[in-house]
Order: sequence, then structure tokens, then C-alpha cells
Amino acid sequence: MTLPDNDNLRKEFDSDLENSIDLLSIEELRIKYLGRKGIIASLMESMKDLPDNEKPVFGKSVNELKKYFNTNYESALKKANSEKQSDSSPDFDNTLPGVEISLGKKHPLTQVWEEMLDIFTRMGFEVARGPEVETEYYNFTALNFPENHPARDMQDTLYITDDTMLRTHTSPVQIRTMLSTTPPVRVIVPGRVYRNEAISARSYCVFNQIEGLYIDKGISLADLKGTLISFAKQLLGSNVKTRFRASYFPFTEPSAEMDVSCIICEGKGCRVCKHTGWLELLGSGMVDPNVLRNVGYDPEVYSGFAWGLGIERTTMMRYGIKDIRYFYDGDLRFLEQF
Amino acid sequence: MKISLNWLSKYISIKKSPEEISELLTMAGLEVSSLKKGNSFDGVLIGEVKECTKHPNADKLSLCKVDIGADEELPIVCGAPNVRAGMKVPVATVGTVLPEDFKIKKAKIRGEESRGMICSEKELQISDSHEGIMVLPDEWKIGTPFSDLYDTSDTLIELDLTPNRPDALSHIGVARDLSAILNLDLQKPSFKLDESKVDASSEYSVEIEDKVGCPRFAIRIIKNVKIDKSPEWLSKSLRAIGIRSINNIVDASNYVLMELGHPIHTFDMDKLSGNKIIIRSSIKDEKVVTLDGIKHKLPEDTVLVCDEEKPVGIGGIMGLQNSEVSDDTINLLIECAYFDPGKIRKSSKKLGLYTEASKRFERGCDPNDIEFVLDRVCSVILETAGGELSKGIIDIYPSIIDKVKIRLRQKSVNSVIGMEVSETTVKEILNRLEYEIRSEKDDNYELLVPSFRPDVEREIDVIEEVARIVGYDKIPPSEHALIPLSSSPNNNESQNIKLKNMLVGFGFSEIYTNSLMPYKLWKLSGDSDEPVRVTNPISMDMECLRSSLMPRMLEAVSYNFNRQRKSVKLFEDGIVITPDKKSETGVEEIHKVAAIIAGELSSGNWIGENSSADYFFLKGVVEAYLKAIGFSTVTFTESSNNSYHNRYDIIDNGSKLGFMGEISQPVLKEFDLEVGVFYFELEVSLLLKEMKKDISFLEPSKYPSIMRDLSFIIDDSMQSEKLTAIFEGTNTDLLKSFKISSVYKGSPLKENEKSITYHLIFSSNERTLEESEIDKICEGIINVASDSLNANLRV
Ligand SMILES: [Zn+2]
Repeated sequence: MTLPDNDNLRKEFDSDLENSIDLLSIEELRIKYLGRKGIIASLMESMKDLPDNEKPVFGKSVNELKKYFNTNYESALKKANSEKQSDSSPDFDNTLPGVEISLGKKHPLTQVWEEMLDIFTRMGFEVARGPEVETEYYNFTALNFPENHPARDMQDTLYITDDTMLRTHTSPVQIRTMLSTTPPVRVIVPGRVYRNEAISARSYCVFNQIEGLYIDKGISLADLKGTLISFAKQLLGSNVKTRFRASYFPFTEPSAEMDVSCIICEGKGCRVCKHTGWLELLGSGMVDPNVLRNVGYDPEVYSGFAWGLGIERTTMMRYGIKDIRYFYDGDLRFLEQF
Repeated sequence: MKISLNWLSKYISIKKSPEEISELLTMAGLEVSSLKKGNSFDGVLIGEVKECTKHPNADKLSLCKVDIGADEELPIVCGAPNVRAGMKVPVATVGTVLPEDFKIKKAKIRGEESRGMICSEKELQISDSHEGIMVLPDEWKIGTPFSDLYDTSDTLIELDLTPNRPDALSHIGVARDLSAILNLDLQKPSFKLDESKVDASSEYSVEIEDKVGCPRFAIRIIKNVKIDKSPEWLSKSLRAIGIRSINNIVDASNYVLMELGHPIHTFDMDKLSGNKIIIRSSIKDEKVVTLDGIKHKLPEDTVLVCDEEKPVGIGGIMGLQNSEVSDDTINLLIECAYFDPGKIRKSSKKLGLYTEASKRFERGCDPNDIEFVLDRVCSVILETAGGELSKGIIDIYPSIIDKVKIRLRQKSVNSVIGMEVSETTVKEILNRLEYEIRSEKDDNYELLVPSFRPDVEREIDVIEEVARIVGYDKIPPSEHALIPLSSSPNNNESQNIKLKNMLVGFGFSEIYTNSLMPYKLWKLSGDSDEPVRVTNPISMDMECLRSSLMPRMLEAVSYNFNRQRKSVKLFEDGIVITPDKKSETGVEEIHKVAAIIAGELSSGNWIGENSSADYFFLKGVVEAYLKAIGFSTVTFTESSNNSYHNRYDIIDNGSKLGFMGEISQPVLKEFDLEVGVFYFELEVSLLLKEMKKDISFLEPSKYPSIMRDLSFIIDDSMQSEKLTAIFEGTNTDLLKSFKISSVYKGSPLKENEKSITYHLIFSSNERTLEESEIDKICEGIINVASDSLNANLRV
């Protein structure tokens, strides 16, 4: 009768087991005894050459051996695993980097926009969007730009046809919104706008604006200031100082530009703020009664304010970026920093 | 507009620093863009260049010997091209500290000794001119301190004015605003005028044909003037604001222009034919030569000032050469007029001619100050050039432009500004700004607006005047909370943010690209229509509007590859524009999101192999993206476009969400890209719609599931979807999911065979499944595959 040499195999296993102290040697142990071409497998293989009457006894003996190997292997594995967690083995090199997993980045302009969206959403503003190609009526006429007036030169226009153009500001959406809504109106309008300007470090023919509009009964300059100061403090920090100075826009009266204390020098005066200590953040004003009339609102009943800012400029100001072209080059070395 | 503070002090006496004055003006809407303070220039002396020879070791340098009234002549090396012997020049002597801490030292320049510097206007911060050294009048005495002769104590303020304020294009206008802000008196220029006995109207007459273009035209005549250099006070005043002195006549009209803001033109009367000035519209193809010697073909309907034979001036824009004042001029005809702003703007735009005069007329001059302006300029001419002033003004003003009447309600002032402004303050401000208060009752004022303020037409405009003079900073910001409106805010926006977040999670970085592009680049989008074009592009490189996000994104890929990037994954979210005759604006605008990938999927990992982006990676992204958005039944249909290879439309329930594909070789070649580039584009509105759908929740099963792998051998040319369809077609609800887990070709399969393995998961929410019932379902699948596709199970 042929039987496997269990005693010797056990001895051999025991001595191998003693030397199996880390995960690697334990795996080697498994392969040698329990693997697909291991000792157990070859014993099972050799069984098929035995006469049928010997097979059950032989099989039983192999199974006992297998059980012995298995139990000891598993407990050694368990032990090694728990040791590994409590005490790294000497050949484990944790100074190697992890597997590289790269997240993408949102564009800095998107990040700043989302921040602004968040601030204004909390103040109860909704978002409105409108087309990039506009008619003369929405882009200029309804916004109280007189015909043949230098005010139209403030915004060099790119025309598609004689009376359609790439919008020069997001303000046409004010008109579209008011025409389709009854007051109160409280919207912000993000979007691309276009100007007929050569590309340079300081200007780009395409840029992004955010516009805001708030119409209700009894809204005053004091409300404009309250809202925009709150916005500036949420965006730039509660220490930021603000000032409002008189200005001119055809669609607001009175008009104001809002400056914030220079974030580079904190108002002491530096090159960025041209030594004034102030940086222009946005243009604003009380919606001109002509604009209200153009959309069918009675200016004796309703009043409100509007403002607008360039996201590029604000972002440049915030991070000290000196060249607007970075935003449009798609240079990952730039984008990945935000 | 440049304002000299010395000049300003003639009209208002302000005891404030230049910085404080700037701040006041800025806050009131006259934005100060720069402030240049005076400098005493200690150590800068008047010198005369005695000798000037070439530097032996440098082509562009000269060796000068300069006399500054000292014992010996100074050797100075000078780099200016205009330096000549005999010139009077400002010399910064050794030890002088010029603006921006520029200290003059003894030096050797290319081996030659230099003791001092001959200065340019820029080095002295007098102007930005750096063309050459500053050349001084011959009569200035050698050795005199520069500041004794050249007034350098003045402060120059530059205003960046908004187009609604033509009145502030003058010193008096700026002084007026300051008088209102500080509540100080304004001194208008005063002068005496001696007239001769000759009646001007007996010598000349004026006829206005174009009454629309020119509502008012007036002239005065001065005879026997002596053209000469201007007196120092006059040339100094002009110099302070950057205007070169020409002669006493030209300087006088420039001075009054900068003082009062109303343009004036002087003609050499002897060059005029006849004794009548006619103002008419230009006719077709009329040609003239302007003062600057340039020939112009006039656009029709330009206002022309003519004598009895010919045009002598383009009204409100520029005089003509044929009647120009020159050194031998004796008799002057002086014009002051009011031209229609719209007409001036149109003509000046068409002519491309922008002058100090057109700038003011197109914004609107005061039609009612003409007598005063004419008298003022005559007084300056008589003072500086002598002559006899003919009696009276010839003034044609057929229909008087009345001052605008406005009713101002105290109540409105307070409600717009949002605080109480006292009646006294309102009245004080309006008086200082020269509004005439006609009557007052029940807190209402009847006002007449001064005619130098064409922008003030309504009550709200007057309220702005009050607000800006009071100061916006005095208005207390309201602090009442805003209460959200009832509607659901910003749903689309937050979903749009999620769409971007997912792509960021897949490792794509967002870019913004220019939506304007040259036709050549647009063409790479492979669209068959024509692009929407800009009719007046900045350059042809910015002519077409994007109809696909691909070309610019591909450009960005190449930009990064050219900068040694090996792995590029980008996305963009933006509007694409195509022609659409039916729409209001003639175009269709579609909001898209697109992603592009090229190169290694992860760069330089030390574990395992780095694989490159390929079609199926991108398809995986598309599938995962759409699944995360909520789509469950997306299919792909082949579509063609020359710019792509393997291009497939992405369809959900019959609606096309977008497409994906590999960019074709010829397109990649345009950017010298040698790696495969893969791209997809989806329509955002369709994605947002899907995201808004309610999720129908399914209870996860409490019972264990059973898994099976089935491999089929099929013909190599057969598409996997045929096999997949069989799994989809099983009529059991126990098969919860299946997917292709491997595709195998090669031994022991035959040459034209492949094997596809499906991984199946079965489960039930009601019970534990029996192995045997799953075997039965699998058998059914195997039979259908064998019968219909001749696909055999691989064992
Ligand atoms: Zn600063």
C-alpha cells in the first residue's frame, strides 16, 4: 500500500514554517505546499495512478496533511498580518510615493464665480442667463444709451450684422429679466462678454462679467451700499474697507464705482493700486428711470439698483495675477495652482 | 483732461494738499488718474553746449563741452540724437538727485569723463517725452537755476472723465465742482474789453444754412494784430498742461479753450474771400485739406464753415489750411459756435479725426456762453497781440436753446439717497453748481439747469448731483436683511456645478478658451455650415465664433504638450454659436460641455505600467459620466465628420446628447500632435434635464446573490452588441446585471474567432436563489446564443 510520507512532509513544513516570518515567505510557503503545483496538488495528481482500492485511504491521508498545512499557514498569515499593522517590517519603504491619482482643477474664474454665486444665493438672488449675441435694442437702446453718443464708445463693439452684436456687457439680461418678471426682481447674471480690444496683458477681447439687479419698492442708495459692502466683506474678508465714488453709466442714475482697500498693501499704497491704497471692484448705480420705463415698470413706484464686475479683474486682483492671458491659454502649470 | 493746480487757483482758493484735492474730485465723479507734484530741481542749471563731437568709442554717444557759468566748461557724455553745439539745455550737475532717486555722479562712460547730465523732459518728469534732450529758449541765461525760469512748483492732475461731463473739460468746470464740494466761492475770469468804433456787422455777415448742424454761430473781428511769441505767463500755463506754445494767437485760443472748455477757431481774415461766412452741409465727394496738411474726402452731411467761395473749416472739428493764421497774419476773424453733438460725432468718427474741439462738441458745449467766450478770447488776444477789436458780435442764433426746467422734490432726494439731506444743503449745492432756483413751494423746487450740463435732463439727474456733492460715503449703508424670494433659487446653476465637479473627479482640469478664432481654426471643427462672423473683427484671427469647443481645446492640448506635458485631460463648459435665420438674433446658442484627453493616463507612476489614453478610456469616462448624471439607456451610433475618426453620436431615448470620437490625423497634424487625442461634447441642457428627474429607489436585496461567468466564442467580425442583446432579452427578473469582463483572441481559438466573457449577477428580493434555477437560466441563454448567433460556450 502506498501512502504519502506525512511525517517527513510535516517536519519539512514545520521547519519552513519556522522561517516564514513575513508575508512574502508565508506566501512562498503557501505556493510550495498548497499552490496549484504544490505538494498537495502533486499528491492529488499522483493519486490517479493508484489502483482504485487504494485511492480512498491515500486521499484521506492527503486531506489530513492538507488540513494540517492549511491551519498552520492561516494562523501564520494572521500573525504576520497583525504584526505588519503594528510594526512595519524592515523592507517596507513608506517613503515611496502613493499611486498617483490626479483630480482635475476647476478654472480659477469658475472658482471665483462659484464663490460669488454662493454669497448672492445666500442673499436671496437668483441666477439669470442670456444670449451672447444680442440686438442693438437690448445691448444699448433699452439700457438708455443715447444714439450717436460717446457713451457707446465706452464699449467697443463687435458687430455680427448692422443691428446684432456680441454683447458688450451682461446688462441686456437685466432688460430680458425685467420684461418677463413682475417686481420684486433679484437676480445675478454671469456670462461672457466681448469687446473690440486687442489682446494684451491687461485686456482680452473676451471676458466674464457678473451683473446684479435688485428692484423693489423704496430701494435707495443706502440699500445699494448695504448690499455691496456686505458682498465685498464676504468675498474679501471682513477687514476690507470700501468707498463709493460718483461715476457715470448710461443705465444708472446716480452711478457709483465701488473701491475696496488694496488687498496687496492693505491700503498703504503700492504699485498695484497706483499708490492710492484703493482698487476698483465694481460699477453700480440706481437703475435709471428710463430703463424702468422701457420695461414697463413705473419709476414712481419701483426703484432699484444694479451693479457689474469683471470676474477676470477681480481674480487678478485677488491673486496678484498680472497677465489676463493666463486665463485663456489653458496652461496646466497655471491652472493647477488654484 | 489735464488740470494745473496753479491755474485752478485763479478761480478758487483752496487750502488743501494736492492729494486731498485729488481725493475730493475722485469721490465726486471726476476721477483723478494721475497726480504729478512739482519738483524744485536743486542742482539743475541752464547750460549752453559749446562743443559737440562724436564719442571715439561709441557711435550713438556725443562728447559735449557745456558752459554752466562756472570757471571751466563741463565735459558731459550725452546719448541724445538731437544734441548740437549752441543749444541751451538743462544740466543736472554732479550731486543732483533727479526724480525716482536718480543721483548724478561723476563717471567715465566708455573711457570718457562725464561730469553731469543733459536732461530730457522725461528725466525732469515734465512730460513723457524721451525723444531727446530738452531744448530751452536761447535767451535763458547760462548758470541760472532751472527752477527760476521754468516753473516746476505746479502740480498736474490728470482726470479720467466720463462722457457725460463735457463741462469738466475745462479748468473753470473743475473749479466749479470743487466750489460746490467745499462750499467756496468761484471767481470767474474778469476782464475789460475796449472796442473800436468800427461796427463788425458793417464788415462781415454770417448765414447759417445748416440750422440743424449748427444752431448758433458767432464771430468777432480784430484788426492789426502782431503775431509774436506768447508772453511767459501764457506759454507757461499751456506748458504746465502739456501744450506747446506756438504763437500769441494760437496760444490765446488754446488758453481760453482749456479755461472755459468752449472751442474757438481763428481765421486769417485776409485769406477769406468775400465778407460773409456761410455754414452749410457738405455735398457728395467734397475734398478739403485740414490744418495738419492732411487731405480728407468729406462724408456727406458734414458741417462746413465756408467763405463766399470755399470751405474754410470743418465745423467743430478742425480748421482748414487755406485760412490758417500764420506769421504774417494781420487781421483776425474769430469764431465761436455751437454744433450739434450727434452730427459732430458722426463726422469725426467717419473722418477718423478726433480733436480737442470735436471731443467737446460731441459731448455738448454750452450754447449760451458764446458771447462770454468770444469776449474772453478777444481780451487775451488784445493783451498779447494788440490790435483793434471791431464793435459788437455778429451772432446768429435762430432758435434759442432754452435751459431745461426740472421740478425737484425734496422727498425724492431723500428717498433715492436713502437719508435726509437738509433743504439748506440741497439749495447750497444747486447754487454752487449754477442751477437757478426759480421757485420753491411745499418742498418742491422749480429749477433751471445750466446749459453747460447737457446730461442733466430729469429730476433723477439732479438728485445724482446732490448725492455726489454730499458724498456717497456720507450715506449710511442699510443693514436690513434681504429675505429670499419664494421661488427655488439657482437650481440649474448648482446642477451645472455638479457637472463640472464630476469631470474634475475624473481628473479633467477646466479651461476657458477664446470663443473668437480665425477661419482656418474654425474649419477644424469639421462643421459643414458657415461660421457666424464678426463684421468688424480686431484682426482676422478673431473673425469667427466657435461652433464647437474642439478647435481651441485641441490648441490647448498642443500648448501643454509643447511645454513637456505628457498627460493632458481638459474640459470646457461654454456656449457655441451657429447661424439660425429663424431666431431673433440670427444665431443659435447652445451650452456645451466638452472634454479632451491625450497622452499618458497617469504620468510616471513607479508601480505598474503607464497606459495611454485611448478610445475606450474616453468611452469609459462618457459612460460613467452619463450614468452618474442618471442616464441608463445610452447608445452609440456611428456618425461622420472629417475632423474625427471613429466618431459616434451619443443617444439617449432617441435624443442626441452629443458625440465622442478620436481626432483625425490631418487635424492633429495642424498642431504637430503625434499622440492620439480623444474628445467628447455634450449638450448641457439635456444633462440638466436628466439630473432633475426623480430617483426611483430600489430596496437592496437581503439575500445573497449568485454570480456566473459565461464565455462565448463568436466570429471575430461580429459586434459584441449582438451577444449583449441576448442578455438584455432574457425574460427573467433574477438577472440583476451583466457586463463584459474580458475579450480574448488567440490560441487555442481559431484565427477568426474571439471569446467574450460576461459576468452575470443574479439575485432576488424575496428569497435565497437555488444554484439549479440559475443553471437553467444560463442554459437558456446558451441555447439562444447558439441558435441565433452560432455562438458556442467556451469550456
Ligand atoms: Zn496697494
